[in-house]
Amino acid sequence: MKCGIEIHQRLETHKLFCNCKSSVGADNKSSSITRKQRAVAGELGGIDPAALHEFMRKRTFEYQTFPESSCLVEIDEEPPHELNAEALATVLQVCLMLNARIVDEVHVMRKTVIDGSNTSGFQRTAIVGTSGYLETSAGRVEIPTICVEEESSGIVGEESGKIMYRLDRLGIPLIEIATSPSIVSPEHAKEVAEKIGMLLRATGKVQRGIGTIRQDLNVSVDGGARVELKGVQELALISKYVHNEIERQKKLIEINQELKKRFGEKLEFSGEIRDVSVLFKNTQSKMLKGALDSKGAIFAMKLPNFLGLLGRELYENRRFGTELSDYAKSIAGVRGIMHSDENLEKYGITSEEKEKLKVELKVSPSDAFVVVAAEAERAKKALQVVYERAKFGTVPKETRKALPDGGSAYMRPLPGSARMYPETDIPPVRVTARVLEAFRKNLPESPEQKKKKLEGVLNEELSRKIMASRSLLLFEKIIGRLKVDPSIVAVTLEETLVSLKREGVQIENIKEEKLYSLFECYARGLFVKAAIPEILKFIAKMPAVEVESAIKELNIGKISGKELKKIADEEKKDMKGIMAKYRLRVDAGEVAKLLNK
Amino acid sequence: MAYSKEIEELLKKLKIKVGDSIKVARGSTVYEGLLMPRIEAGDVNCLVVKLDSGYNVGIEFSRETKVEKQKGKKVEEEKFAVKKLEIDPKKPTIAVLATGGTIVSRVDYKTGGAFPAFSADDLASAIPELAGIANLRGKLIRNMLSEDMVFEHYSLIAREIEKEIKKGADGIIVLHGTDTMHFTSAALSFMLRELPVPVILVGAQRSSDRGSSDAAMNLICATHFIANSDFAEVAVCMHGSESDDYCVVLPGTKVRKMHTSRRDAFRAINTLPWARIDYASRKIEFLRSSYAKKDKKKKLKVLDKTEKKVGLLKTYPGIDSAMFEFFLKENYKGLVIEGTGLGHAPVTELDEFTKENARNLAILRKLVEKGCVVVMTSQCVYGRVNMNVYANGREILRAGVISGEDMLPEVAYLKLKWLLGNYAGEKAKEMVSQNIAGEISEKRESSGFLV
Repeated sequence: MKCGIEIHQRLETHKLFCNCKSSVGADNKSSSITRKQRAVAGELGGIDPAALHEFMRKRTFEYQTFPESSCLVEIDEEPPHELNAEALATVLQVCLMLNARIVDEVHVMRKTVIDGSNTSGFQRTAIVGTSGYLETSAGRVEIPTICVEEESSGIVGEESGKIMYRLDRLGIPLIEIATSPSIVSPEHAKEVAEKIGMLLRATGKVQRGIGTIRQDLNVSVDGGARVELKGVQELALISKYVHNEIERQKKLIEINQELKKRFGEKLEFSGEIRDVSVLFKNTQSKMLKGALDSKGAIFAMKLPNFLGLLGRELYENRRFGTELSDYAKSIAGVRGIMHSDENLEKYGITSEEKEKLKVELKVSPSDAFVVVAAEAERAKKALQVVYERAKFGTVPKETRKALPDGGSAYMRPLPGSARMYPETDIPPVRVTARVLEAFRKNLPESPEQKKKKLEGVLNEELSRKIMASRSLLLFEKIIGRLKVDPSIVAVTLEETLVSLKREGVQIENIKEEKLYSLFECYARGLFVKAAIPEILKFIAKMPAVEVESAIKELNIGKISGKELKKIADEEKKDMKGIMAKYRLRVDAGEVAKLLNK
Repeated sequence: MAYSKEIEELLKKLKIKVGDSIKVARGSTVYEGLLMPRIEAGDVNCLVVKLDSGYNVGIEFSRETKVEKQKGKKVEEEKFAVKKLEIDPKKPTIAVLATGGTIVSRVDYKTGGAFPAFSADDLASAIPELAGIANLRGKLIRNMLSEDMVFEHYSLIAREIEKEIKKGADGIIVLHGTDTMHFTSAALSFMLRELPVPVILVGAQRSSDRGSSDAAMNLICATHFIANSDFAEVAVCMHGSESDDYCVVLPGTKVRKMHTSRRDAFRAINTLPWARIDYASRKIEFLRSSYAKKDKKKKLKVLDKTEKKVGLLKTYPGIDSAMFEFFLKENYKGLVIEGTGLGHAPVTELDEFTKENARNLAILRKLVEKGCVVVMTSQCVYGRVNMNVYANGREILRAGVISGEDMLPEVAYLKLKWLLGNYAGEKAKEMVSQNIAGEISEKRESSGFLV
């Protein structure tokens, strides 16, 4: 197998080519504009120009604007400003940390995009570093390029030829790190992604939170094809994605071999598409009836020699039939297909209807068939697409969308090499040896150095968790400035918050400042360790309340000294009794000491 | 190529040209790709190389830099698919005259250089919709940035229009850079007398090489408007809003570029646009009906002489009298003042700080006495000049300065150049305040502000 990763990480600074805030969803939409885009002359990349033109002509894009995070630059009404120097500085830092060679002059390019995700019709991108590498447990992983580029607009929705985008996302600076296909296993892929993620966070200049980092995986197996899995967000699932893709390609190759056996060398058959609506005139199937009632039709097609193959599992919970269905959905816009390798009764199709259908399609015992119910043109198109894919055989080169369960679904064909031409509105940026030297002297600690330091204050498990955590910087800040036990901080950030989340507490309401202030109060002895979850729960509910007020409000302040002595007397110096009643307010150590006097 | 002398010499020695495949080594780092031309911005001592991935990078040239030509690899210029146009005798014929600017440029994706794409075949291949509307005839007159234009270019354009009309064109489109498109539209409005067919100037605020360019929509709307209306004036056709929803047809003498970069930068001033064209439905909606109608029996007359010695001066608080004096010393025949408010300039000496103001007035008087035609307009852009309201205005009037009414300063400037070139002194002076090509309106309505 071959596997490479491309990582896109948003940087914590204003937008790349204007001064707008780099925040998504922070403010409300102010208005919107609508635009068309055109296929640009000469920009064909192997696509039929007339078809591309027609495709573009039919689509309208609506762009939502935001008062704080978009301006005339985002709506392509003002030329871009100069490259954000802070963003470039972060990328230069990462280049050095990844041992890359830095170009002497950074040239911003325009990479054409036709999906409307950029109002200009292209994405601005520039190579900053080349020939880097990362040391891993399975050897060196090469990093051929490191780029700085602008984020695309966020898609909001699509309705009848109109695609809606939000512009708060457009133009947020991204660092793009691409490895060569030198990753050797699913686990290795995860390790590489984790290592790069840590390195990025070590700069302290990257955004954190959902959607701020995305991984694309390029996977192929021998005899398969390069498949790009886009938009992997969960680091924990990376090995599963790679594993499933390897399985998918292997199984598709097996299916193809089986087909070759059944067909002889050439995989040729006619894909006759037939209108079978009349067979279902009196059907009880809600789905088919619904389609017929809304002036749709039912079409069917025989897939000769395909018996059993559509139901074949590619990886857990995904069958070849599902794949075919994905193409039909994505390209023809139908809701799905039904096929003979699945239990048609679940769609309400009776065995009698199935038999009639088989007769109509002249299905022999070794054949399979596919049924689609939809608006007539779409249904026909869907079967056409299924036919093309079935006939294709092995593994098509394609871009697939990463699904939340670790699987993937067809998205679009793999794009041809992108058109690139210089962004003449932005002057190139000279990176001199002197500038680089200054950066080199001020590099943040490497993840290795950090790990060593953490292992000195935390046990192995906690230090591993903190190393991989998005809260790493917060942890460092807390233990760097406050006199608190690092283990308590690590446990709170990595374990307490997670279990509170499981209980349904909205921990995303708890801001970093509040966590810092929690430990500041703890360092001052305002409460005991056991009270931490209660205070966090309270703040999650009332995010604006100060930690000190929360402690008062909850009546959870630490009891010690004379007051504790009084309680001990009242409880007849019974340790168990005291702890049962005052667990959240007294320090067990102090009680024990007092009782032992 | 515009590289440093050292680089140029080395490339010459190695017989390397732009577009050649080269290998550049700097220490242990090696870059392979195509040599690109040096763009104007940036360090002339950096080689620009296009890598296989399509990215350009700049590599510093020093003693340690080794450059080598790679044999065998040669990149050919991209072929631009051009369709031959068919003529449909039922459709009107429109002549498309290109003068340059953003609208006609096309990018060479290999080198990144922009070059003009102007022939009718080029246009119709890039914008297939056009062929469905009219028969096109294309000609490149000049390929220039519009800010470089001088009056002689207006004359050149007018003469080309004349030729096309004689050849039977049913309408003319002038492709133009946007910076001074409203100057050209005003000049043509004066020069082209008895115009039988429409002349529409079209520009683009985003270049045609990007998917988001406004060029195609502006051009489609202009073509459609010419082919489907009886309109026959000089006008500008551009976006009406920031969206790609409609274009506006703006009067040639009452139009101005009011924004540096927006698509809808061109605005009608002191009046409404002539018409709107809805892009999706192609519906034409006239907002005013008093336009000249197409009449191919009309005989076009081109009056394209000019007076060189005409100037335009913007006044401002603290202006040095030497500014006014320049026109006196240089024997200017005409001067348009872009005054403040209702048509004022600093001409009153009221204390120890304002002696210069008195000198301004004295020079204005001398200018007029010497026979220079001085016209007052306002930098307010909107509204009419009226010098009777305040003392300074009355003083300037008494000095012999003529009111420019509601003419835009740029329009008054071109009109004065044109009048002094084509009419005798007194006649020209008389005509300053007469409406010739829609530049002066009888009345201003509320609806003519900020449309």
